[in-house]
Amino acid sequence: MELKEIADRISEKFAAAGHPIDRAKLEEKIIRFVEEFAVPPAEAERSIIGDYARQFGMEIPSSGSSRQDTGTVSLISEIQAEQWVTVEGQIVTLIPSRSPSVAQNGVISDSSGAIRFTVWSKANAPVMEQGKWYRMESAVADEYNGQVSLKVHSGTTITEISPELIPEPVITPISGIKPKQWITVEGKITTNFPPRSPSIAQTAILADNTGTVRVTVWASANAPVLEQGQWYRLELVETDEFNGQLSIKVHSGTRITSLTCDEIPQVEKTPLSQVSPGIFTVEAKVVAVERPAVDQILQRGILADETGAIKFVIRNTPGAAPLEENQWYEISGAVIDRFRGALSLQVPPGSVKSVMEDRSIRPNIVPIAEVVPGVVCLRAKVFQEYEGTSDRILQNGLLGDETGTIRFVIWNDEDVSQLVPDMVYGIYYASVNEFNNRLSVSLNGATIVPDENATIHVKPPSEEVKGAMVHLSPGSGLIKRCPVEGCGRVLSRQNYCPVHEIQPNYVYDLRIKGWLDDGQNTYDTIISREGVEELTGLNLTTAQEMAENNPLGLDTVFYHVNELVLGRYLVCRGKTFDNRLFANHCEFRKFDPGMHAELVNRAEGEAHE
Amino acid sequence: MSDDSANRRFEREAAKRVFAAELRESYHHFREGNDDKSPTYILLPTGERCNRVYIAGTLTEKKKSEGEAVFYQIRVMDPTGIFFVSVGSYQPEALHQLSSIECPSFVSIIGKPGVFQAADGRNLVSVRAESITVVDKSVVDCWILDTARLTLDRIEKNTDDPDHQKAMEIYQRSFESWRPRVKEALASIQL
Repeated sequence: MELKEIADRISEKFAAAGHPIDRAKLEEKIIRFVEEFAVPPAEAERSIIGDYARQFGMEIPSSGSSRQDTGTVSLISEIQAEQWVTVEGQIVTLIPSRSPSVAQNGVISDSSGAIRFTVWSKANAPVMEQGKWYRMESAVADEYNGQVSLKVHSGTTITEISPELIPEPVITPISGIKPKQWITVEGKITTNFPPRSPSIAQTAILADNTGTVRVTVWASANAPVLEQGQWYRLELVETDEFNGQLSIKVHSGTRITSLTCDEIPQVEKTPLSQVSPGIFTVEAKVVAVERPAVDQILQRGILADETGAIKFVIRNTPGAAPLEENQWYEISGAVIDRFRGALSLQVPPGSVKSVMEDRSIRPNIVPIAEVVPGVVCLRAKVFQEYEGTSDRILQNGLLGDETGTIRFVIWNDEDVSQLVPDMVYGIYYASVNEFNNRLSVSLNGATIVPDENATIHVKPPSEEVKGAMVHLSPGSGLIKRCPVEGCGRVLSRQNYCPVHEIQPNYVYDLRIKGWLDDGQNTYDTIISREGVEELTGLNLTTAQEMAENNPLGLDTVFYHVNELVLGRYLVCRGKTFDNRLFANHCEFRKFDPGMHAELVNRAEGEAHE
Repeated sequence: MSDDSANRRFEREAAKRVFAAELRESYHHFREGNDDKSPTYILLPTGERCNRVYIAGTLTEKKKSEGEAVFYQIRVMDPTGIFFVSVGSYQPEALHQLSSIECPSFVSIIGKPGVFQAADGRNLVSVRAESITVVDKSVVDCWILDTARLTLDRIEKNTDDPDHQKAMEIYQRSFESWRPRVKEALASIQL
């Protein structure tokens, strides 16, 4: 048991110096550090030795760090600088050596990632070939400019891995691509862009049913042109990331195979509520069509199924045909894209099959609090109307339901009319956009049905700020307010109101005044009595008793509240105004395992937008 | 947000969330403006300036310095390393709070980071505590999530921000190289 060893080491050390230590107390201390507080044993040992040493007036000895062993095969992605490692991987690139002291330069890759390597001439290592698999035993990892690379020296053993031991190539789903790897992918070229530089032969978008990724084909790859609409398998492409956007690079070592019809993966039908950028097959009904505004577009409109709705577009390309309103279609290989947060569906030519049977759709009404950009159905009423700011706008303001409010706008157009205040409406297939982080729903083109007998109690808009309380100002806790009608100012200790002077018949109130900080912004925050009571469990009466029975008076309530709230995470709901926050509802933030899982994924680099 | 900054009242610097591993590697510090009272910042290697930090972790050591003035040097551990924190008589609130805190405890600290030169010439980042509170483990876990999220935001942010560019030049280290530290920190949370 490790803890026992630590206890042995510590007690021997001090016994040798003539200071015997109470063994039971020592062990209790170690357990407290290591088990209760999850302090690593080495840090616990250091801390406890320091403690005793100070107590006995001894010098504190410093300790060295320990080395790792090198026997096992490391995953390339886990290699850190200043390690001796053994790796097994495929040589994916060889770079011509520019120095006589370097025999070979290149990149070696395994299923976890890729790393640059350098073989020193002095190493007398066998010459490695691109595309083959090798085991490098006892190579040294070092770091230059934050880049870790492997050095093969005379102590490193290189052996080729026999073909039967080489892992099968795996096809990586596009959504699973991480930067700095060498992988194999399959997908359809959905868009081609003109190359912008002579070193690039082609740029395009590749999609499968998990996502889309940008493809760059280097001119030096001498690769065939990837054709739009065609499926390909690309073996050994390099993945990269720039400005948060992932891409794959086709270079001379990449093998490109064009997939024939029966090799194309069968894509199952996906409900509209579950599509994301990529290639999907959907079955849906055309619920709205729109005149195209430009020549390049043949038709725009909205498709819907039982789960949701999406905008579609058909480009004016040869073979393209418009869809009919109220007709069901099966669309295979539809390309889903995201623009300003909203998804849209591109119908490629020849992908459409009409479905004879007509099913009625019960539109999926979404609570306003759950609205995301795209096409939605709502049940709501006008909560607030804004003054007209432009002739182009017929009406704008806020729509509300039981869950919240959202901005709406009706553009001036033929066959639109204003919404009547207080009337509840069913709003079908309206489009929601995002501007400056605010959602706005446009009612043009939507079907709007008034429901004269219904009523809705709208939840008024309120904002939520999550942050840490980093400072409590004086004037928090129990305060005295001016009793004059309409005043309510906070009185000084001498019961002095800046307007109404001395007010001996003050009224007590509870509040917290302080700074709530979310790491980006700091809010000058006032939490009302209601919020303070919710948060601290203290109510006005007990606070008053506390102050009256304690020599510190009002201060004692301040210290009590300060102790409970300072340095902790809160969730506050209320109104914000610039950097001020007036909160009526507050609670301590709890650990959120869902958020933890989400962040673990994001840290893996899997949740790229 | 900043378009109406002229109308704003006093703006307090946000307390940045940063893991010990990253704070320890920061050494570039600067002052905005020439005034004596202008705020000083340290530049984090992930490209954000920082005048104040909010940290949480385990207090593992509390050392009172010899000398007349009361002065404590404490160590606070997070999943990636150690924060060096000092508490002196210029921060009476923190000093008072610390006097009754025992080692080990979970604490959260608000303070100002500074870069100091150690005797051997190395740079040392230490946080001057403005306040220190004993908290329970859930606050520390919340802090790890919060710090992971904000660190990832910094890693993944677009690169046209001047502080981002400056950090690239000064630290010569890719932002992505901080990602493993975030993973480590998240992995330390036991569900």
